[in-house]
Amino acid sequence: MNTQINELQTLNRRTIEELVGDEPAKIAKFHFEFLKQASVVLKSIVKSFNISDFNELKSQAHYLKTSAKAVGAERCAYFLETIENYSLDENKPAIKQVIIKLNGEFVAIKKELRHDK
Amino acid sequence: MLELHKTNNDHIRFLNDAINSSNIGIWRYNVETKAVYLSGISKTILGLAPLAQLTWRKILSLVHPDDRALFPLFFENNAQFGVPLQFEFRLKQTGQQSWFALKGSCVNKSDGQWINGTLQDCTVEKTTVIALNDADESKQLAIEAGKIGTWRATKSGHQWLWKWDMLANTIFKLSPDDIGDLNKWVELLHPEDKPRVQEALENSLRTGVEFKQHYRSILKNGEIIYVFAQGRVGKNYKGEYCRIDGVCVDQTEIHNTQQALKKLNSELETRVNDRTAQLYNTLQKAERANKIKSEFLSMISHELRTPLNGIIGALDLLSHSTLSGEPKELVNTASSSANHLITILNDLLDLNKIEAGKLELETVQFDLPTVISEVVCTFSASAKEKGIELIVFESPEENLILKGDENRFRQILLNILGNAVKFTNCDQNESKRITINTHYNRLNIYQSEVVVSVEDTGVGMTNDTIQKLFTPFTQAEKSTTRKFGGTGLGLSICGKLIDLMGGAIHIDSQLNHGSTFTVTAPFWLALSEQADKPKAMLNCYQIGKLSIYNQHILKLVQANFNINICVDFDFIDDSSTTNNLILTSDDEQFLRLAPKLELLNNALVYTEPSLVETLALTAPHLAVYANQPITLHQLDKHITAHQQEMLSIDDFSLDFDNSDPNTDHGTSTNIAVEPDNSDILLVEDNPFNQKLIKSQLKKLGLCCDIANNGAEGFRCWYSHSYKLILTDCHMPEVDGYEMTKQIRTEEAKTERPPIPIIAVTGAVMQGEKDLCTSIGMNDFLCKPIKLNDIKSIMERWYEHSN
Repeated sequence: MNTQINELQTLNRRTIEELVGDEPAKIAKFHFEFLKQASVVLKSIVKSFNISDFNELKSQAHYLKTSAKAVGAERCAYFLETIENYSLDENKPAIKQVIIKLNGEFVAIKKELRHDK
Repeated sequence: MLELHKTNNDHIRFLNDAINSSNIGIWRYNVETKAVYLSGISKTILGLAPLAQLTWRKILSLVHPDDRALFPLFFENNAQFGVPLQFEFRLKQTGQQSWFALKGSCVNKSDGQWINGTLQDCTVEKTTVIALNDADESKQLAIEAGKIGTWRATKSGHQWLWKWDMLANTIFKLSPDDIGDLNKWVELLHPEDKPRVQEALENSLRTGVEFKQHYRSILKNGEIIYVFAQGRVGKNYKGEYCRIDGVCVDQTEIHNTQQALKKLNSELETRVNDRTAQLYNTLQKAERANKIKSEFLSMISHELRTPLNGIIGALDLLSHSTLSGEPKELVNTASSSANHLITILNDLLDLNKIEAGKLELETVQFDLPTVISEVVCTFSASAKEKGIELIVFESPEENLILKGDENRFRQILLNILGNAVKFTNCDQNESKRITINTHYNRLNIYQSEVVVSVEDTGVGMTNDTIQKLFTPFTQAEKSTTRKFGGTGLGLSICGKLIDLMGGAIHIDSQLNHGSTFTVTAPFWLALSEQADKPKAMLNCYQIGKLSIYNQHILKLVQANFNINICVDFDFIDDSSTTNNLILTSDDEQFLRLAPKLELLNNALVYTEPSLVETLALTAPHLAVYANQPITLHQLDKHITAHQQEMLSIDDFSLDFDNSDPNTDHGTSTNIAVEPDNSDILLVEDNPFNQKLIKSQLKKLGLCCDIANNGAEGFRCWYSHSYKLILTDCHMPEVDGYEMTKQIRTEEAKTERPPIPIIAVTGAVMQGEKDLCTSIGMNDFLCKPIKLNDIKSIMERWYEHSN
């Protein structure tokens, strides 16, 4: 499991290629859509965290997870799934750290995409 | 006869008495037989016993070897040629101390030729004569060496009789016949000096005062000589002035040399005065030019800054508006360039202010760790990007509140660290590393000296380069500007600022090996603010052997917290509110302990930069930080942030770029979700997934209608005739399961043929699949859906559908 975790990529570009084909323009559009969605959902996640609404937290994480998996944001998907799991346990300190790391991953994706540009 | 005999005896007795009383020895010598007779006195003089038997050879052996040859010479000359026999000799025993005079003459008698004579001790006379000769010779040599002429005059009656030596005669180029003729000397005196010299001489002869005159003489050949003459007057037994003795020295050469020297001095003085005047004028011009330059720079900098601020403001507003990729990039470039220009203008203004002495330092309270943290944070990202290892070792000692110009001190450190990053980032550098060290030197209870060193492994410099490093507009080499950029103003300003602060910047550098810049600056201490705060508790877990970086973190926390070192992970107690710190450089051991660490929620992990990602993923619930670059201020901030339960929404703003990436390329791919009046219905709440599935269907030559949740999906199915429904399972309001139930119920009620409903879900469990089947769903697709999977589903359920 740990080995698998270590192999998770910030942005696995092959994933989206397998879903929509080798169409860079379309792929760029989906990356853009993902980040746009992530910026909104992340704020909702933080709000839910601050009011300790673990159900909503889990739901938001799940919602974004499918998008993250689709674009190959493997680490994001992993952190979102971790948030879902910790939400079930209502483990707030742990969720806090995962949200911070999730944010870091979004920044890393953004940087990677900007670098491509 | 008897009377005559008596008279002779009287004479002989008289002679004997006279000889004995005058201590004169007598002797005689037979030329043919060499028989010798010596009187008693002679024997005594020669140190012989009265009864000693003597021979000529024996006597000669007593004589000093240097004088022995005199005897045969004089004796033979006397006997043969009648040359008077008279000489002095020394004895071997008495050596140089005693001299003896031997006199004699040859007498022809019937019994042969005899030489009769006397012998006297003449030591006193001889040594006096030798001393006199020596003194005379010495004086003569000295006078000759000094080219000093001597002169004298003696009074005879009322007349003075004059005399001078040849040297004096030579000085005045007189003929030997002229010696003693005072008029000859007087005639040569320079007309301007003659009255003074003559009067002085007459006065000396009259009154006895010393004669001492410098004068000129015009020689017969017209040459002018410069003479110094001095003489003293002597008296006779009656106390009358009867003689004068003196010297004269030709000082023409000295005079000429002095004149030449005086002329040279005068010329030199003139030249120095001229050059000083030129320099003063040049300095005045330079100062005027510098002032004009400073005023111009100041004015132009201000004038440029005003419109530039307008440009920056406008660009800032523009960058926040909706812009597509390329224009946005252009705006960013323009903004970055304008900001760079402002920085250069600020540097110019700073330099001008400092040079004009108008820059005043502020005094505010600050602490070094905050400044260091700000400086390090400014460059940590760019250093990381350039592959430079940035390391900070702060003094874990007392945290002092300092008073001084924080901004200017920060400016110096920013400049030095900025240069280190710039000059370490070169391609040929294999080991790119910058190490910052800080510490305090306590000067007294009121002052402390801050020492910050920045050591890099960059390009380094030669000593010559270091010398001109603080000169404005000068960089290490001309190629440096081309290669690394910059105006060369930064270090010049730093050098002047640190001077104003009373500190120093020391540089140690080696070409191609790197440089160390050490900044030292004294600051006042805010004494009243030094109240000791109670230290918070901190549990510190160590996993594996601590690296140098983690040892440093341990030192820092030990100085600022009450540390409880924990090594046993079997009894982790997370019930306490105490902060937990995990220090590890051992990822394998950390991974082994990961299950136990699950219990430790409230913890910060510090590890090597290379292990951060691994540990952060392995233990997602723990905050994982790199142990370098880390500052005391950051450490404090991490711990403080860790204690906060809430998250600030502002920290999670992605600053999202709203520009549509496709507009850049002009190849817009419309994936907006529009109703297509299709025979496929997609029920999905996530717009991203809606667009994705729609796009995938389009690729297969299909299209679909969209419903955002189960309720909408049911209404669409009810009012349209679809061949297939793709539905997400987890949705707000009515989920996929509930919608399926409602559709199947309604189909049964109205006898509508069952529509294929395909579950599209992220869940992958078998139980989920079973649930879908049990409530009437026909098939299952796992998110994200691969093209081949959706194609298979379509082939199976859509193309065979009625």
